[in-house]
Amino acid sequence: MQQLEQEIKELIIERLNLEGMSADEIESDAPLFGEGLGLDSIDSLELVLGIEKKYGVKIQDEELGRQVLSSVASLAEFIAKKRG
Amino acid sequence: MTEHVLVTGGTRGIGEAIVRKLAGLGYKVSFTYKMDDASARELEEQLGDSVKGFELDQSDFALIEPELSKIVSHRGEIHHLVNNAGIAKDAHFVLQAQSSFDEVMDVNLKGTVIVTRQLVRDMMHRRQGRIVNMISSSAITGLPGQTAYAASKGALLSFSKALALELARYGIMVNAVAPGLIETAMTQELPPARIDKFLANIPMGRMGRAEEVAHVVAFLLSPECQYMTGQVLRLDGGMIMA
Repeated sequence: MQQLEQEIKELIIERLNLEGMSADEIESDAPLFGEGLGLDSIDSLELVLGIEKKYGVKIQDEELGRQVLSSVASLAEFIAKKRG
Repeated sequence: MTEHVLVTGGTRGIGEAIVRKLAGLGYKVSFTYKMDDASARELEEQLGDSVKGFELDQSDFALIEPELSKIVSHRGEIHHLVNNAGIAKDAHFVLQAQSSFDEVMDVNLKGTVIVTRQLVRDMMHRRQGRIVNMISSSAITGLPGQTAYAASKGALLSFSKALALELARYGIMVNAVAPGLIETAMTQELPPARIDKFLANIPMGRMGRAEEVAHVVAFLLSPECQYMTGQVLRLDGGMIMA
């Protein structure tokens, strides 16, 4: 799971062009949106596309998106579960 | 690479003209149709392997996802979408059954939205794609007897604009085409007196042809069209001027 979380952090940095940031600076349990990393809804969509492409798992609706995208840890858990 | 275009409602009228035009330009074209098997097979026969029809009643929402997946698996990823499928059920508003109003909204608006949603994700991944929504003059000016049709097409017009805003950053352009009075089976059903009344309001003094609409759709899909999104192109012989 730690490996997956690390990958997700790298994906966030690459996909959202968070230049100058390193994966170590993103806490797994910190909120990605609003406070924490302070991402917005356009970033979230970008992230959804990135996850879809890399892991082949779809996040189809808002409600699910809100839960899953709340932190790196929740994203990792979702992806791990979907991949079985 | 040959670009693959999906045209919904491709066996008749404007849709058929679009399929023919795009096939002639060298696109791979898939189209949907409702019931009209004979016309679909005829089009395939005339236009060759680059064209293939798939039956889909897009008011049967549950069928959309599996049918579009089938088209993609048989024919490859879809680069551009022409939302042309539509029906009209003209009646005076107070005399129109709610079910008839709903039917128009289901095909013209909701079905179109569901088709678009499914295809847009892949376009976003590719960071390119064109979506053309066929609306109507009726969406802009309204027309007596067409509350349902005008409402559905008007909604599609607003949908196009909002979607264009959301998708511009992904390199996807969304535009609408609003034909006026075009010679098709749909307008052939109009009483001659009504057509004369229309013609009196058309500066160019004639009905349009489906092929003329198809040319404009082809332009919107072409590499020549690069800096246009969220727009409505009106093809109505000058009937409406902004």
